[in-house]
Amino acid sequence: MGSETLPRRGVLIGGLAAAAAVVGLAGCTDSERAAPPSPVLPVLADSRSLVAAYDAVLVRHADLDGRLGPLRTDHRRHVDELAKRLGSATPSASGSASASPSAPAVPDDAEAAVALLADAEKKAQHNGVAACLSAPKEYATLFGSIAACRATHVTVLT
Amino acid sequence: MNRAQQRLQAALAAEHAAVYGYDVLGPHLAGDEQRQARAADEAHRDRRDALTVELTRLRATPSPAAPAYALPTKVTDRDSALKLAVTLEERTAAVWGAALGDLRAAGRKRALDAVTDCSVRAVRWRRLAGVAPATVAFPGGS
Repeated sequence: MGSETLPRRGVLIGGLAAAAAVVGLAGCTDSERAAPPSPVLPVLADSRSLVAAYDAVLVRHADLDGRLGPLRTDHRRHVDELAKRLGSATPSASGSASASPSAPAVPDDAEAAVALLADAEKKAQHNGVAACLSAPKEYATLFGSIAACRATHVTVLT
Repeated sequence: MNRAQQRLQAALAAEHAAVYGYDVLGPHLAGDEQRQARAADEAHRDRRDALTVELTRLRATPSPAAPAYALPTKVTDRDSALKLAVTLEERTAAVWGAALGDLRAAGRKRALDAVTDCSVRAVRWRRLAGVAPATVAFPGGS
């Protein structure tokens, strides 16, 4: 299912906020139906953006794979689980979470690249906390777990 | 006792067990690791005390600590102490994580803070213990 394509060039770390915003707005403008957007969407968008951010860094700094690979895998698992919860009703969700043309490119310096990832994790954790606190009962544990995972990544990266 | 109170009682039991566990494992660590164990112990005592207050406020009777807890592993040295520390944090995170859906507003926020704190400590212990990967995808999840 999940299209795990490596971003080709100039891939972008800071896309998180932009992607989240796109999805957030999509609830108001894009939706053809009256049903409210799933609370899964913004969490999924952040997880997809994190996967893309790790991919971008790993394309540039392949030697960081041992350190970053397992963290990327965690995000990949979040994407899979969230997509599963979302069901097949909204196939366009993945498209809206990808492009973010104004984000910065991966720095040449490996530590600077890792610092950017840490920053992206922090923002995503913050978003995840908000998502958990406002979530319907059935999503609270999953969103809380994902937010906590992002917090553990900050610990590993800093 | 309603669902939320049951969750808080379960969290209290987990915190009691964590405090007990750290008392057992702490002496097997040294230096900075022992300091970290002491800080973790204090964090669990704080949560235990806060839960006791909260349950009392809700007119429930907080479960007391058991005199002893069955530990999943025997603690004899640094390695087994670190292993137990990981287990304590992961279990406590899971009990708090399971409570999230039954709690609301400030109660859910406190539970999520607990999930996060425990999960971060679990990862620190896993790294010190040389466990790879250091992180798990769903800390505090089922």
